[in-house]
Parts: sequence; structure tokens; C-alpha cells
Amino acid sequence: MSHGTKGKFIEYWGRGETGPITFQKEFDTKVYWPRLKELTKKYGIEYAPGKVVPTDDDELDAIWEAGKELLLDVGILNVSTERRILFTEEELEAALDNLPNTVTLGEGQDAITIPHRGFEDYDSGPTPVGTMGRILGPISDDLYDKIALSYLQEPLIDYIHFQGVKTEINGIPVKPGSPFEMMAEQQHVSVINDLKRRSGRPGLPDGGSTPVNLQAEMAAANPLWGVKKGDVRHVYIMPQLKTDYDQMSRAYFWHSYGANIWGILQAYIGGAAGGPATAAVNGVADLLAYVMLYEPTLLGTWPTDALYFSNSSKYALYVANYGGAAFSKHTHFPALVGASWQQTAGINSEEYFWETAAGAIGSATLGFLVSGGTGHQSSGLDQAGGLGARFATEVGKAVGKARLTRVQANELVNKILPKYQPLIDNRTLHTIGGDFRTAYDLKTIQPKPEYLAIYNKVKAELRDLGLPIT
Amino acid sequence: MADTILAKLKQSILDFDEDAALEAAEESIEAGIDPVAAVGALAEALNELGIAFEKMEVFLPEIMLASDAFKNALSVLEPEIKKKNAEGKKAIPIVIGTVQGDIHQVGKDMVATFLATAGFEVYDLGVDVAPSRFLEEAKRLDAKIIAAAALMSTTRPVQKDLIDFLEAKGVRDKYIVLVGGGVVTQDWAEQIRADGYGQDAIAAVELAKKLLHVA
Repeated sequence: MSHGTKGKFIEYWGRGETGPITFQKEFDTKVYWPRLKELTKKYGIEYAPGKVVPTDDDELDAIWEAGKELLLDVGILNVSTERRILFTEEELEAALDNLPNTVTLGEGQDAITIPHRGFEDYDSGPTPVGTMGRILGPISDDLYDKIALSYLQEPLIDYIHFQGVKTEINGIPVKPGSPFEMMAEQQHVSVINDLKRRSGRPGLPDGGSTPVNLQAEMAAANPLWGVKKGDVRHVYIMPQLKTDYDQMSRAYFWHSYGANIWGILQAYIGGAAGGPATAAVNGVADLLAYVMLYEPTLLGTWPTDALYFSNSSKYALYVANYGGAAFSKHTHFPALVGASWQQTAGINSEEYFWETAAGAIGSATLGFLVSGGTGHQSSGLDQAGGLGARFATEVGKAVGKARLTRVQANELVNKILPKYQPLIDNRTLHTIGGDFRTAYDLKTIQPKPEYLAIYNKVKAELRDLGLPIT
Repeated sequence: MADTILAKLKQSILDFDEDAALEAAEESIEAGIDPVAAVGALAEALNELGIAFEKMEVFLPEIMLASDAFKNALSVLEPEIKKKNAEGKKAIPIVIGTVQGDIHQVGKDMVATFLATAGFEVYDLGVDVAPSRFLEEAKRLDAKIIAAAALMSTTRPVQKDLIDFLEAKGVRDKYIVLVGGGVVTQDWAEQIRADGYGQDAIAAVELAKKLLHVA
């Protein structure tokens, strides 16, 4: 492991054997939740309608202080031992101080170096600072290559999560822990590597963690044909502020192998993380917990509404933008992927592009990577396509061109939200929009004219709203 | 007097206060209040919390605490109801868990908590639950519903395994099988011949009530 806590992980993970015994339910209801509520109140953090992109630095400072205090007070629960891992403030500060200013993902000509980027900073390099394309959810066998190629042919994408899930091997369902899961992962990684080569981008960083079981991930860890050292794999801090030995084993394995780790702020808004304000505080604690335990190369903001799975709702955008910005303002962590990792609507819909734009505008203004590509809550079959990620970058570029202030970005996203938020409120947004087959010509792997028409329509409307997107 | 104690009972749930709930329940028995009316006061509070939860005015940890307070009060009131034999029906048992290979628990916890607050006897089997264990526990507890959650595309097929397993053992008709989770859809539920799909915790409770024909 190369940054942050730098080798302290053995000591820190070991605290899961000696820390205060706390049963899960006790942690959720008597330790974590009351402290989260107290700290949110103590620092006067409040959500209000219209708050999407943060404009007030004092508010971010308050979220930062509360989140830091939360982690220091309650720690992180190791579910395997039902003990809490606690840190001192000095340890936390030392780890933050040790964070790098830049990270490099991928290999060779395709490697990307991502620097830390401040808010409204349009002069230190291109905006957005990077683009993550994401393929997530079940993918049909006959479309597996085509969907991946739809991303690989997009030059604006720097980093891809090839997380399309193979559901069968020779007609046999791929179940966690089965040999078929290992076979599926080997097939998945080697197919993606082949496609990357055939696209002339062999070293493009891949963050596609699909297996449930570590043994299946390990089956594809092969420097010749499998996971490359420039690739990135996921380690999970479970909601809320929990982890276990399986996740530590994953981190240990991938760090020993020499690959990278990604993690996410994962607050369930309305669920265990409470409302938007408490969830934003929790988000900072999540990100700090990653720094302390797992030395991630890349982090992201992935809050969701608890009662209706959405990464792009008004609440999710608030938590992603405020939590992420509070963390970014007080650290020099270099690679933070912003809001809307996956959209709620299906990919072939206007709403999908509006959700992507809402996420990308905040991300680009705040100096985060933008993301796009997956729709239908990542649960529908074949709901992924490269055009969404291209669009996210174009939105980010337009933000840079316009040099949007945070106030302007907030105003703009508030104009966009009415285009899809009502369908989140009535929980029907996921029923809108077709899949890859409806959106792409399966022979040429190009977006169909009618799909491009939707994409162009949203771009034209964004221009009408004042965003100079080309 | 009775009104004050019933109000106290209700308030104990709204305050998520386990000790106050137990105390108020004991007080209600001493005062000779009909235990069915006392349970009614508790249910009223839980309903209010359910509405507040949907509006994001209260949150899951608080619902969990309220559920514990409810159970505390019920531990005193239920034996009295049985003694009186007045509407002394046993709560309907439900087993719930996240399927084998899947360790996601937030959604499952929410459904379990809301089912408990709706008056069901919920047996939470936790995460990574094998189909055989669902069946063993459902049989042992005489459950009427088996609720199986899956959050990942790779673990969703285990919901089908559960149904296949029940069919193979010739007990499919004995249980209502509900499925849910981030990757689960109505289409999937129909495809695997589940009895119902709940989009969220509130919907799951309504579905359970509807399928069991309880108010």
C-alpha cells in the first residue's frame, strides 16, 4: 500500500480484535445513530430544498468537522468480530497528511494521472478532471462485447468500470461461491482485456469488480491475461460505518498484488444514515474510514435514497456534492468520482440524460471526476451504453468552458431537477427508457439516429439553459 | 386515568423509549386497562412513525428502536391478552433473510423492522442465507411467509433456487414467498413464480397484509 496510512493497516485491522465489543444492532441504534444526530445538530448542519451544489464554505467546514468527529467517536464496526476499530485524531491527521496529490491509474499509453482539483478551478488542467464510464447490472451474453465496445470507442472516457454481470456459463447460473463464479470472472476479465487491446487501449484502467466472493476475484488475478496492476478493485465499507474480514482480505490481496482499490461514500438517505444532512456527515466519515483502513486510490460519492434506489435524486445529489466537497476541501485526495454513478431511468430516455447532466454539473464544478453510462437503477437487463459517459464528459467540458461558479451550478441543477425528480417522488422513473438494443445499432455499435436525437435534444435544451455544450 | 396511561404508552413508542414502554405497559395492566386497547395505542404510534418515515421525518435506527420498545410492551401485554382470550391470536410468523452469497442487509433490515412494527412475528435469519435454511426455519417456526432479499445480479438467482427448493420438497403451497432487493423487479418475481414483490419496505408490508388477508 502506498499512501495514506502507509503500512499501518496491520495495526489498525488488528484493533478489530481488541476494540470495544459492540453488537451490530447496538452499534446502529445506540452508538452510531445518536452520535450522528448530536453532531449534525451541534454543527448546525441542515438540508433545505434547493441545496444541491454547495455554495457556502462554512457549511462544508461544519460537515467536515462533524464527519471527522463521528469517525473518531464511534469508529468503524468490524462485523466479523463485533468490535469497533477506533482511531486517534493524530493518526487521522497523519494519514491525511500522507495522502498523495496525484494518482495514476491504468498502464502504458492509456494510464491517466488524476490530480487533486479545487472548486471552480478551471485553470490547472482540463475540466472535468476525469471521466468514469460505468457498465453495471446484468448483461446478455450476445451483447457483452458490444456494450463494452460502445464505451471503448468513446475517446473521452478515461476509466471504465466493466461491471456487466455475466448471469450464466453454458446455461448454468453464476452463483456466488460456485466454480461458475470463478469461471465467469476469468472470462469477464480476459474478454475485457481482449476488447481493450482490439480498441487500441490495452492499458485503460478497469474498475470492474463483479464477483461477490474474493476467491472468484483472485481467480482472475494474473499479470499475463487477467487483472492488471493499473486496474482498480472495490473494497466495501458497509452501511453504515461497518466492515469485515472479507473486505480486509480483499484489500490485502489487491494491495499485495499491486493493483488499486476503490471505495465509496455510501449513505442510505432515509434509512440508517437518516436524512440528507446526517447522511452528508456520515459520508465524510465513510470516506475517512476508507483512508484509514484501505488506502484507496480512487474514491467516489454513491449515496442513494433508501426507499427508492436513486443516485441522482435531489437528496442523493445533496449528499454526494456536500459530503464529497467537505472531504475534498479539507484533504488533497486526488481522485474523487462525483454524483450519479448510475441513473434511475433507462438509458434510452431524456430523463437519463438529464440525470447524467445534473450529476456532472456539480462534479465538474467541484473538481470531481464525472460519471455516466448505466441506467435503470443498474438492475435492468442491458441498461448500459457508452453515449451516456460521453455526454457526462461533454457536460463537464461545458462547465469548464463557462467557468461556472458554484452558485451558477446550483441554479442550473435546480432548473434540471424538475425534469425527472417528480418521477422519483412517485417512484416510476425506472420504468422509463429502453435498453441497449433499442438505443444502438447492433451491427455498427453506433447509437441509432433516434437515440442520438434524444441526446441532441437534451444538449440543445442545456444550451437554452445557458450551458455552452457542444 | 386510562387515557393518560394509553397516551403514555403511545408516547413511549414515539420517543423510541424501551424502558418507558415496558413501564407504561405494566401500568396499564395494573390499572385494569384492556390489553387489546393498549396494543391499539402502540399500533397507532407505529402507524404514525410509518407515515413520518415515508416523509423522512424519522429514520431507520429510530424505527428499530421503536420496534424494540413495541416488543418490550408486548412482552407484558400479550400474556394478558392470552389470559383473557380476547382477540388472542398469535402474531403471524414470517422468516426473512438475504439470500446465500449476498451480505447486503440494509433493505432486508428495513423490511424486517416494518413487518415487525406491523405486528408480524419476524424471524430475521440475517444475510447469506441458504435456501435450505429458509425452509428449515420456516418449517420450525410454522411461518406463513418467507421473504428473501437479493441486492446483486449475481445473487438474484438464489431467490429462484429457494422456490425450486420448496417445490422439490413438495411444500411450495405452504408458504407465501416474497422477493425484494435492489436488482429485483416485478418481472423477475413473476418469472420465478414468487408470490409477490415489494419495491420497498412499506410496499412489502402492504403486500404481506394483502396476501395474508389481514387488516
